[in-house]
Amino acid sequence: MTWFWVLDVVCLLWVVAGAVLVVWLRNLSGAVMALSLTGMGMTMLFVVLGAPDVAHAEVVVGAIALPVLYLVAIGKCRTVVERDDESTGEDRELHGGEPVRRRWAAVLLSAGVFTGLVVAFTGLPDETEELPAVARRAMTGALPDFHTTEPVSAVVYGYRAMDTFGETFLLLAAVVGVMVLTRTREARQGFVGEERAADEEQEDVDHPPRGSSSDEARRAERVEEGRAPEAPETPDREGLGAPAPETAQAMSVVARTAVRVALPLLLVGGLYLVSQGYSPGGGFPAGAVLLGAVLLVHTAFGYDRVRAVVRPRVLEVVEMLGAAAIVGVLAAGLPLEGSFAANWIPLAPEQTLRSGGMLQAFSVSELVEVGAGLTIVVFSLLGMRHDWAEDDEDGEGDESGEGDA
Amino acid sequence: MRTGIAVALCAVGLFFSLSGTVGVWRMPDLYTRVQAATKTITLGALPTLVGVVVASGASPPYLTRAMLVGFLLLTLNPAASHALVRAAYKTGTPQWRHAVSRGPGEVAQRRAES
Amino acid sequence: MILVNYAAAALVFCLGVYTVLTRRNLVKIVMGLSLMESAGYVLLISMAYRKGSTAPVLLHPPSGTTEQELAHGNVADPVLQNIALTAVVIGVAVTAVLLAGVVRVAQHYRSLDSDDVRELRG
Repeated sequence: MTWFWVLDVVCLLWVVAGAVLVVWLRNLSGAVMALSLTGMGMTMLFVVLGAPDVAHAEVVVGAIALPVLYLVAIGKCRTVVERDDESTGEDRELHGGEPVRRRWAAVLLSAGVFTGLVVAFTGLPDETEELPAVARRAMTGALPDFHTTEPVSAVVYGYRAMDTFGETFLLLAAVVGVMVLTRTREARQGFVGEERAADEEQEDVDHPPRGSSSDEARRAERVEEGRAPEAPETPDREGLGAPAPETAQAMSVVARTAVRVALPLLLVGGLYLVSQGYSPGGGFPAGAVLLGAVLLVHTAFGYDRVRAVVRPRVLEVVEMLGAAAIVGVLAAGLPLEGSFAANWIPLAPEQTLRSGGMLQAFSVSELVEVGAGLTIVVFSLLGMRHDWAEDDEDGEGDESGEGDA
Repeated sequence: MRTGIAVALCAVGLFFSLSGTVGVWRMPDLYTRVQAATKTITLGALPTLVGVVVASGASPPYLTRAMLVGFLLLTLNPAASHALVRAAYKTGTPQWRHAVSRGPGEVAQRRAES
Repeated sequence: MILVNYAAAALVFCLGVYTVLTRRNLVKIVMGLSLMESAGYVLLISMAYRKGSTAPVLLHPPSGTTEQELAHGNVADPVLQNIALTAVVIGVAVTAVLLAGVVRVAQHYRSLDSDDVRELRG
């Protein structure tokens, strides 16, 4: 066995072990970490199998986008889900669901699916097959058609630009969907915006933000009975799951200094990924890296410092501008070159920043759109309020700050 | 010669990674485990990166990226572990029963009583 | 020999199916869906691999070959890698929407247990 297969099998074992851990771990946050572990294993596997672009995308998804989405969702559920066992604080409902239902039927079905899939996969092309004509055309045509040394980018943003256009707009549709699902209930009367602003100011004065009332009652009870007021549940004075963006506290000076030092490098790294169009990378990983940088600032410095950049209205406009730029770049091919997504930008010499022509323009527009879109998604999820449900008795409407609609 | 140095550096990195893994497994307490895990990442990855640079020559694709990754690891990894342990301390994660320093719950209690 | 990769992809897919079928916690079910999508990525990239190939990148060709020779030589399949890239982005988008829905359901039913979400049962 050559070294390649050894590396391949090691990475496969890593991926499968991570997947087993995801199924097995009962603690939800632990399962999220196992999912991230699976993502890292897949990144290594993709590098070993010779797919650096996809490895870039998988590492930003597995390390930044997915864990953040899951952890924010789990955190939002924590204060609204009823705790089963008050004395130990065990969240039975938040665990992976025990006892297990329909176990034997599920095992049989999964085993059947596995067998069927493996039998089907023996008919798939082996690794000794010739490269298909489409792939060879993409490889040999990347340099002459686009002056780019990155055929995968030539395929993603050039030959198959229609697919990437569809995928980017699917992400846009998902962002809009998340915004609709997480918006606050709107006021039924009054001027749109004016009365809301007045109400929010009044709330600020009447109910300054603090923890939920049931937690305070519990704590007061404990003090009365002479027991020690135990260590607070979270370092912030707000419980997890309360609308966090407005009240997230900054971290200690160590974390803040480290983020101050590392932030310019991370931003430049993200922009590097998108700007060198002739090397693996592209718009989507760079957008996710920018999301990671914004989240790092939010975590370490609190919402106040991020507020200037992460205003929902500004971000929405930025995202729409990115999407419009994508449509513009692609549609300009119609009158200028005769077909949608044809390359109409004059080609620059190889291995320069502008070398891809329309590829670079599409990639940069996708960076803007994906970065803004993912930031909107995460901050919308963070700022979800509990005002869609009818039972609002817990005083969840105590918070201040702007809504996310 | 160059390859020998690179292999030696990678072996150093591998040794620290393994020792960190054993540490995470065998340590009795969150705080000691996080210390072992931090050493795993920082001391395990940095010699390997230096080994990559030594083996492939100090040319741009390898040197700058290795330096970038190494610097980011050196800066952010200890800060992340610090944030993790500080959060654990403030929320009262219990220490190992034979620990010699003040436990997290006691500090919060003392502060609440004063 | 790449059949090992295909089998691992099938295994991860079946682990995802098992999670969706047996777990009651809604977030766990969404994680099972993520696992199924991950299996798809592994399958696509394994299908793109050719025996002894390098990555389909023409930058810095190894000494002794030119970019032209590399383009005509033994490389992995860039078209399937493009499809996998698209799939990764779609996976993120779907997970985000599903998680927003899960949080709303948890807020309404005060529970993440799918057994408590009974109002649409026949």
